[in-house]
Amino acid sequence: MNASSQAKPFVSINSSEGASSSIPAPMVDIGGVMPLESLAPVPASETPGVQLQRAREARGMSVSDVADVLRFSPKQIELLESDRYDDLPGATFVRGFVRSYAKLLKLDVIPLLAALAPAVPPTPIEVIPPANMGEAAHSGLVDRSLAKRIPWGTIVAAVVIMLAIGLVLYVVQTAGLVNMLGAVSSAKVDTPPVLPAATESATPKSSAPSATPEAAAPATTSVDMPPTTPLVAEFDERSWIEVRDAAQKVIFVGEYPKGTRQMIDGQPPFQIWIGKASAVRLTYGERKVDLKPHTREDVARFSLE
Amino acid sequence: MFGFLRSYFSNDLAIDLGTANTLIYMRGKGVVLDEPSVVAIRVEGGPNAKKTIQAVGKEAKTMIGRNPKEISVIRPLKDGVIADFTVTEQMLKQFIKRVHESRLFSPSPRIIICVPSGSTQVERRAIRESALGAGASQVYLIEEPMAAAIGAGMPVSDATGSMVVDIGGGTTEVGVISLGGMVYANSVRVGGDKFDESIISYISRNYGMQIGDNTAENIKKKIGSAFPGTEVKEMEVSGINRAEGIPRKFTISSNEVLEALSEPLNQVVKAVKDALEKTPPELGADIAERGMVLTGGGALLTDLDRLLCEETGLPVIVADDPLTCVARGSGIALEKMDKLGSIFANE
Repeated sequence: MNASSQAKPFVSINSSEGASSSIPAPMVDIGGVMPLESLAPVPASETPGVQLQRAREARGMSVSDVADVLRFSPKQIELLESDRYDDLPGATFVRGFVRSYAKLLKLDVIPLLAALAPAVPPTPIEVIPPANMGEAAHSGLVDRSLAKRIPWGTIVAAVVIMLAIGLVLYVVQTAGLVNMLGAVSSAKVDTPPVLPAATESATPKSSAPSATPEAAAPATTSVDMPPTTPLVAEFDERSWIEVRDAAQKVIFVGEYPKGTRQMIDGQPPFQIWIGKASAVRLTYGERKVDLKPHTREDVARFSLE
Repeated sequence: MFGFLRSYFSNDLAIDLGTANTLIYMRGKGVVLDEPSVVAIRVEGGPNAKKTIQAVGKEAKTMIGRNPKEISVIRPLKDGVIADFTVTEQMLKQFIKRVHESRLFSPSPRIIICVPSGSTQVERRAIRESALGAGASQVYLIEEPMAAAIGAGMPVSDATGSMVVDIGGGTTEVGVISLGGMVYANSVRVGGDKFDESIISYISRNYGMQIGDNTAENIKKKIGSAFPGTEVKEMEVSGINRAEGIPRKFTISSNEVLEALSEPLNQVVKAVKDALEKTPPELGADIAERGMVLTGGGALLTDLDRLLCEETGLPVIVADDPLTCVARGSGIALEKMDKLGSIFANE
C-alpha cells in the first residue's frame, strides 16, 4: 500500500466492490442485501410513506428490523409509512427521520424530501449573495493596510454637511435681518410715543459740549426714506425730540435711546425742540447744525431752514 | 432614539464566526455570506514592514500551503475561539463590508455573534471586542448549541427536551434545551480540524507520506466515514514521501480513514454520552422519543448519525442543511431580537 508512481488523476474516487474482502464486516448488515440498481424506480405519484414502505418490503425487512437500526419506535415508523406526520414530533424530526430511513433503504433522498415538502415544509436555506460580492476579494494591496485607517469619507461628509448648514444659516440670517430692520425703522417713525414735554427740562447741567463728529455712527439705517436733503439726528445719550414741518405738523416726536440715528423727512422750515441738546447731533444735508446758540438749560429750541 | 437612522445606515447582522467558515445572516435577507475563515496577509519588506490584506475567504483558502514567504495565510480562529485578535477583527471588517452595499458611511450594525458554550470569559470578551472593532454598534452573544437548535427548527421554547449536537470546525457542542433555556451544555475541542489532523498523522504514520491540510480535508469529505459500511471507497492522493523527499501518489480507502478518525470520533461520542448522563430523566425521555439532531459541517461526515445511533441507542437525525444551521438560528434570534431577551448569553 505504499506510494507508487501511478499515472492516475490527482483526486479520484473509486467505489470498488472487489476491495470489500479486506474490510471489517459492518456491525449491522442491512445495506448489503441488494444492490441499489436492482430497486425498481418508485412512481413519483406515491406519497413518501408508501414509497418507503414499498422499498422496505422489497428489501425483505420488517418494521422492527428498521426500528432496530434507526432506533425510532415501530409505532413512529408505522406513522411515517401511513403519512400521518401530525402525530410525529415536528417538521425537523420528520424530515430527519425520512432522511435516515431513505439512507438505510438506499433510496434517493432528494425526491422524497421534495414530495414531503407540501406537508412538512423545510426551513428556507438559500444563500443570497450580496450585490457587491467579491469586492473585498480583489487582490489589490493599495488601501487595505492592517493599521487603523482614517475615515476620510466620514470626514469629508461631515465638512460638507457643516458648510451646507453654515450657508443656510447665513442666508436665513441676512434675509431675516433686512426684513427685521425695515420693520423696526418704520415702526419707530410711524408710532409717536406720547410723553410729557417738560420732563427733561429739570436737568441741572448747562455746559453742553459740542457734538463730536468723529464718533462712530451706529449701523442702523433707514431704508424706506427718500434721500432728499435729509435731516439726520444722532443720539449720544437718551434724549427727547420733537420736529414740526412748515405746516406746523408734528412729523417726528419721541424719546430715543443712545446710539439711535434717525432720518427725518419733511417740508422745511422745521421747528425743532430737543430735550437734551448736549446728547444729540443734527445734520441737515451735508451741514452740521450747531445747537449751542439755541440751547438754554440744555434744552434746544429753534427753527431750521 | 436614533434607531431609524441606524436602520438606514446599516442592517443588523448575525454572524457564525466559526473556526472553519464564517457565515453572515442579514436581517430580512437571509444568509448572505459563507466564506472560509482564512486571511492571507502580505508583509512588505524593509524596516517599516507594512502589512496588507491580500485576500480573505475562499481566495485566501486556496493559498493555504501554497504561499510564498512574504504572504502568510492565517486561520485566525482555533478551537472555536480567537487565536489572532487583530486578524479576526480585520477579517470580520472585510466580511461586513462585503455584505453591505457601498455607502458613504462605514456600516455600524447591531451584531449577534455565536460563542462556543464552553468558552471562557476572556474568549467571549475577545469575540465581543473584535466585533466592536470591526464596526459593530452593539454586540449580543448567543451560545452555539442554542443557535444550532433554533436553526434546525427544534421546539426550543416548548416544555420538551431537545438535544442538539453541533460538530463544527473547532468544537463539538452538545446542548439539551427546554423552555427556551439551556439545561445542559458542553463543548469539546474536537471538530473538523481534529479530523483532518488525525488523517494527516495516520497517513504519516502508516504511509510515511506528508500531506497538506487541504488534501486531508478533501479525503475526509470524499471518502471519510464514521461507521463501517458495505461500500468501500478509494481515493488517490499525492504527498511528499518523507524517506525519499519526493512527491508520490498513493491510494487510501474509506476504511483506513475510518480507522484514522476513530480517536476524535470517540471523543465526540463521549461528549454525547456525558450529556445524556447529565440530562434530567424527564427530558431524557423526550430525547429518547424524538432523538438528537446533528448540525454543523461534521454532520456531513458519512454515517456519523449511524455511529451515534449505535453508540447511544437513540434515534439520530441530521438537520436540513447542517452547515448553515447556526447562522440561520442566530438569524432567527436576530429577527426576534426585540422579543427574545433570555436566549442571549453573558460574558
